[in-house]
Amino acid sequence: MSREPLVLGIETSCDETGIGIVRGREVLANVIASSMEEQARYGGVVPEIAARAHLEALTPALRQALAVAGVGIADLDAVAVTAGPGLAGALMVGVGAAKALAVAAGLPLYGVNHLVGHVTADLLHATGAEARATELPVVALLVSGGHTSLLLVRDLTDDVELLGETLDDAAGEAFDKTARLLGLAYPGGPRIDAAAIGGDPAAIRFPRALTAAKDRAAHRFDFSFSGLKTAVARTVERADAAGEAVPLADVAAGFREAVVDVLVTKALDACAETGVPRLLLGGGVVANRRLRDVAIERAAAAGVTVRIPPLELCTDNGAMIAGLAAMRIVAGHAPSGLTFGVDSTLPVDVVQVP
Amino acid sequence: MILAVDSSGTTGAALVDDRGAVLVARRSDDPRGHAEAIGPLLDHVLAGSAAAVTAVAYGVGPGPFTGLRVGMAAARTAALVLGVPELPVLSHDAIALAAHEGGAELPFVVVADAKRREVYATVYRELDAAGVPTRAGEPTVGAVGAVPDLPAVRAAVDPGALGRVAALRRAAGLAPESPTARYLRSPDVTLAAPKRVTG
Ligand SMILES: [Zn+2]
Repeated sequence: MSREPLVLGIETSCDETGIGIVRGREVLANVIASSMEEQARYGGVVPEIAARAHLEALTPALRQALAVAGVGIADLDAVAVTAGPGLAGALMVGVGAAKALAVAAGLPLYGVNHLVGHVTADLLHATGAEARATELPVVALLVSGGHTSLLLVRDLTDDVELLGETLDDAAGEAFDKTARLLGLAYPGGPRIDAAAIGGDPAAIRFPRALTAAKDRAAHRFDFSFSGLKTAVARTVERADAAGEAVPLADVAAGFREAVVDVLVTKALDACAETGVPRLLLGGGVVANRRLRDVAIERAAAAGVTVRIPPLELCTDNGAMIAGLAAMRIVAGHAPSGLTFGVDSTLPVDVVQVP
Repeated sequence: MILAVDSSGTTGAALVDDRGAVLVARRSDDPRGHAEAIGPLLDHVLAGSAAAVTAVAYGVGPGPFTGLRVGMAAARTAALVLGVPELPVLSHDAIALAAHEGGAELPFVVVADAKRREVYATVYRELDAAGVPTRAGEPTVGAVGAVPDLPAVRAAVDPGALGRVAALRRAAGLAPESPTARYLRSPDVTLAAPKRVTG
């Protein structure tokens, strides 16, 4: 291909319907429709509500993305779609649409890995902005309502290794569930941040799961947040039983500190263990200011450089999916077939499904 | 010609001409695997004919949601790509037309599995101006015992018949169905389970 490939990417793995259009690494459109408001009533993502919302949002978002990018279907070189991991029913909406687009327009189709897409986000740049360059290898910490994973990325297009992941709740999910316990609204991250203002993060020491010496062998880079949520619940119950007010600011600050501490500690431990002095943050929880501040501060002390993509590319989006496919195309990989299904637990070393 | 897609039960696609005659039709008999099947099915029926498609008909259910949405998403996207109108069709109308053409006498009730020991049911009593059986009320979901006491028609949706419903009604100047998916059930409010990337 003599010029950079023009790729349209479809992302429907959780509660954001994302349609992105890239030319190589340049983002021409990044349209995101979210069902977060519908989910707010339930305090978390209800898969069936997310899937219904994807179906309704999909074609309007497609039209909008083409208009924003100023391109027509006939200009596209390829279609990309998230094949997994994610919510199966939600993923299927995107895959159904992507296959129809590919067949009706006669375009090659790339079914790619959502988590590797998050890493790709760091290489993308807006029109007119300077091209970004992620130095490889890099350790990636991906944190959202759907996942908490530590990856070692040696080559974005075909060499990604899973170092660790959450054994129960995702970090973003822990924020949502804890917010519910504290009587705060969804999504939990911003509410807990607001509640934590003026709180003493050291007033209540919440547990840091899987950080003890005995866990190092089996779960050195894994995470667990369900015990932390239980600890918050106990604190609330104790205050209620004693007829006292819950020290909301201290609980919120202490909870957030525990989550951030575990995330950053394990990420920097992964950098040390792999000898890679570069850490990339991705996923919607990167919106959390405290996480960014602590990561930057402690990474600097450890001699590790931190990279954070622009926030609109950190949350789930179609541009990162299109961008990953564009890089696979440039690297000479063949398209996926038309027969692949969704894989809600697609492993990270499968960058693209056959 | 009209491209027809339905995944309210199994997955199927067809091309019919403007009078509803089937040019090509194919169905996957797998009641699951809609996302896998839809690509090869569309590829088979559209081969070389995409430019001649003037509308996309699709089944809006009722049917198991996860599969139903795959065909709807694919059909709506195909209509967008081809720049042609959408012609939504109640999936049971296609079963009713095929049954009527096969000699079933009205009235009858189309019955389809809704899982959880329930069925979707739609009653048909007469033909509309297009000569297609027209439902006597909205489809329902409930226990088998609650289905009206009429001869029951149970069949998979024939995508060719679905295309014919759309073609005949369009030719008769009848308005298409609402494009809304006929879920007939509220979403189960079960929060997403934590996702693990490895097994
Ligand atoms: Zn994500």
